[in-house]
Amino acid sequence: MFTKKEKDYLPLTESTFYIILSLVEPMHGYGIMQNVEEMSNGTVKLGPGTLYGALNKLEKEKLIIKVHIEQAEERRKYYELTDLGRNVLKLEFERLSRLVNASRGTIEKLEGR
Amino acid sequence: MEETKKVTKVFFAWQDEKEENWLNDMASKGWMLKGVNKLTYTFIKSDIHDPIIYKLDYRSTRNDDFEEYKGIFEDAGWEHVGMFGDWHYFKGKSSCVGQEDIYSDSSSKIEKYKNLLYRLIIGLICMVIISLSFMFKSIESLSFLFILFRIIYLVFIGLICYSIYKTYGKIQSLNKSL
Repeated sequence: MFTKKEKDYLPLTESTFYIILSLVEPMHGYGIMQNVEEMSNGTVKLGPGTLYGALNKLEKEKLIIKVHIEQAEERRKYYELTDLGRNVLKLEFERLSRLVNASRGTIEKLEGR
Repeated sequence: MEETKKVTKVFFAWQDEKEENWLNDMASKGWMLKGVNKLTYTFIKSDIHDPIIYKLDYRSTRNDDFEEYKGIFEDAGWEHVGMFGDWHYFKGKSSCVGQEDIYSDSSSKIEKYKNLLYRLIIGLICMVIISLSFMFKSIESLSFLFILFRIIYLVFIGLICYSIYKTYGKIQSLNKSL
């Protein structure tokens, strides 16, 4: 079972969700920006202030951690999800899925009209 | 020889958007911000006709974070042109940067102002504590200069209080747009 503490991080903002989703594998800031734009079909373009702020906050909250990558440029820091981060991502996915499932019937009826 | 110009101008903590607009205005007249030192802005004359956007970020970075911070903005097309305290000045060409703001959602913009608010409150508490040591000394022992000093000090405290009020207002109005 998930503890209360992990639930406290929910709900995530759209930006934060995409950032965490990107960091299932090690990635640097610019990589995240491109990845999020691609994953969201161009609907979410992260501003650098938003991205840096989120990375800073997520690292403080220990949802992500800096990882050392050989041959990486010095100024580009790589991040990856921690176990806590993975659990928060899963929890948020479950929460969103529940919402989508619970509302599906109603929405389909609305559209059928 | 590059033509440069120095301008001294005061903007208060809550006037970051006004300051951005002023910098954009200077850029549209061909004066590009080169650096900021205390209240003095240095501009260089430029022939670039691309529209330029200046944005201010509030962020305290440690030395080892600063390069990464600057790098993320550079990757997104924003050049770090100066800093004053924890205020960072970024310059973007509107043809290069994906959007016109360095923040892409309201909740992260709120974080920026919360950081500023937190610093202002700490500053206020420090100033009030320091003032306790001299503010309530008996009137007879005071010279004119000391009274003047106390008045200036009170004006500073008033300015910080007003900054807190205005910054809090910004957070509130951003909260409404969430």
